[in-house]
Amino acid sequence: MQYEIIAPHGASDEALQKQKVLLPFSEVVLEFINAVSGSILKDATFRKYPELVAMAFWMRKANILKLKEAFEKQKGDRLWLGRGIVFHIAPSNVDTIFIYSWFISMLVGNVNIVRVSSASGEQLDALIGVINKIAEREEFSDIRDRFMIVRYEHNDEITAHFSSMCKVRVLWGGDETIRRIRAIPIGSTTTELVFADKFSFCVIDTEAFLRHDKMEALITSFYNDAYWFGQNACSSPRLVVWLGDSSKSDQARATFWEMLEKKVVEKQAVFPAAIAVDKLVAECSVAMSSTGSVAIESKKTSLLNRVLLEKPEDINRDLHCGGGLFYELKIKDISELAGIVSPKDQTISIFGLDKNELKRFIDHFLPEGINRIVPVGKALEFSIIWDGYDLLREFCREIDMAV
Amino acid sequence: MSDLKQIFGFEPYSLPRRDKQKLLVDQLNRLNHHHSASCEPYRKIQRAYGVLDREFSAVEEFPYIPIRLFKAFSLKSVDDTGIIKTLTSSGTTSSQVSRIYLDKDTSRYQTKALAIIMQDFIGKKRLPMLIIDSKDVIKNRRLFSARGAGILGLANFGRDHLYVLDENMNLKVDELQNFLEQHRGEKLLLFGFTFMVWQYFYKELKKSGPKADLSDAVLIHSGGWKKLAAEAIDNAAFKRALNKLCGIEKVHNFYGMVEQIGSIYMECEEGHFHTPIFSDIIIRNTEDWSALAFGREGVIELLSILPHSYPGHILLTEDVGEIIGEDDCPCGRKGKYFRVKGRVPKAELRGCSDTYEP
Repeated sequence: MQYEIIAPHGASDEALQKQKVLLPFSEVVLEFINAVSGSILKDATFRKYPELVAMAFWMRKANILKLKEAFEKQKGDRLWLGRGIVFHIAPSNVDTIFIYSWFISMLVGNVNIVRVSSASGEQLDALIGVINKIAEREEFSDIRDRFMIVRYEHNDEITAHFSSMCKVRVLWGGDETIRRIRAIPIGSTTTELVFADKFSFCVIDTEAFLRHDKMEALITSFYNDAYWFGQNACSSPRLVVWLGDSSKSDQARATFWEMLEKKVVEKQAVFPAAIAVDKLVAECSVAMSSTGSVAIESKKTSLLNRVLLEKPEDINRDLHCGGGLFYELKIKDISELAGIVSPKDQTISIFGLDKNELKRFIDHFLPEGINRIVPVGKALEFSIIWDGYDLLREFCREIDMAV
Repeated sequence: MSDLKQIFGFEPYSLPRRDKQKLLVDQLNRLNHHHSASCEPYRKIQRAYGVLDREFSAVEEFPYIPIRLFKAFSLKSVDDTGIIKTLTSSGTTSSQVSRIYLDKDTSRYQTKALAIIMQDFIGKKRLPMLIIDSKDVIKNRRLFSARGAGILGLANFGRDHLYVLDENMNLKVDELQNFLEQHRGEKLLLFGFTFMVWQYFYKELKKSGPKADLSDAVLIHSGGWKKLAAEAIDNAAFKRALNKLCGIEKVHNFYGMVEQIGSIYMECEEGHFHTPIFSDIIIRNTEDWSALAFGREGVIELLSILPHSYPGHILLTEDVGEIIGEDDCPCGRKGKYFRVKGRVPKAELRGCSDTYEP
């Protein structure tokens, strides 16, 4: 059984299995996370990876202390403990996900095994470098003994090995991957968290947009949501829904896309040529399969493709290939979202919509999809509530003290 | 299609730029209308791009469609009753294959165009022909693979055909020897797919085959260099090795695809692929899809006036290449001439959907 242990130096699964959990939010964990955050924020080499900087910002001490406070408030005097070994199977190329998954589990004291894909790139190497350096420090021996990051090619035998020893298995991946891995058994008392491939979209109130006085900042926020991770994170917006009357929508769309196009060029987003071809295939395929009218808007750069759809049923979530392709829909009333939302939908990023109206929409239509609603600019921000799970809570078990 | 009849009367590399462009623009406008009227999915694409029923005045302005669409969709501009043949791509690297539907007319145009192009390289006389493949690949006549279609297309230019490989891809040494003796002193035609020629003909002949003098033969081959690249064999090395082994001097590669059979791009004596009057090439910049100047590398778009039964007249391929020049190749042939550099580099997968990819 061949797998590579990439962190920490000298780790082994035999040693890991002997470890007990730590108390939730132990000081050593907070210090470790803070040290990783500090290293990334201080190191100039990380500046070219805004995704990692955003993650480090999320991990800074002030934010973690907030999590701790909320956790303790929720817990009260109940007894919550980590579950033991947690086995995380991370997606191959949203390089930060494994850190979020691991750190949240570590916060409540668990012992963690993280599998990263063998196709990982330079961001991952840089991150592993930082983690190894910090984990080596004397004061972090309690952390060093409680995690192991492994890398291996697709291999059911190795996955079965780690699956047999964990108390929680965490899967991130597409439907096919998840089907495959779920065929591999876990222990009878092991729980499983599954984060399947998702689709996300953005809803913009056209009037609010047209009278907005900070359009430039809004465009930057949308750019970050859509173009970091090459529009391939589950929460990257891939559809823009315009709420308002049709002529106002067209006015807003013209301004919005022109500004975004400028931003994309200015930020020098680069995608491989194959993505540009994939997007043409996707837009033609959508047009060919459509039941309603489709307008593929002309473009000056292949970094931004737009396909305006008349009917929500023409949204093809599976054909979307990322890389700066946007479906568009115009709606007059928020209730029309009911015809758009599918069980696959995760994040709705919004601009100019009323929170109470959205709440009413959800109470009334009881949609099968939607796991998050966030403002534009926060689509990729990680939260401890993810895909419907309260992660800190899921990584704990409760000892019911009834005496 | 009397227009095409007239074109079939021209020499394949005879028209200078201005005349050829005018001819192509007329034909492509006509084909655009035809396919938009007859193929609903194609019409939907034209409508989505806002170009339905538009007339264009230069080849660069015409809307192209990605060639991959033929894998996921059944694209035809004729009734099913009119279809006489369905071609499929060989699909060695991908599980999905292209399906190309041919009616009588398109099939005839392809045959005619191919004949006109080939005659420019091998002359009008049918030559004794060695086919470097096994006869098995042409057995199912209704559902052809690209390989089978290529062989049958080329077989028309030869006589006394010998398929030199058996069903297990072994060289039929004795029969080859008989054939060579029987046709001693005659000009021969050889055809095969590049990799097959190399792997099962050249290597076997070198190892154990009869001594073959092919100094007065023409070898036509196609199919790409991917497998040979692993052995560091490029076009020049391929020609050198064959020449050394059996004295063959005339070796012509051709570029083409099942989606546009007939209007193929033959390699001339200078090693350049040439566009015949039936077809043209444009190199697109993947940053903004504009047409690139000669000498710049980009994605290859191919235009052909032959496809009538399916909307394959303007295709964006997934190959990278560059146009070297137009009307001024030292070989004397007119038209654009170009080089192919390989496939568009595959994108690195990003996203949550690929946990288990190696």
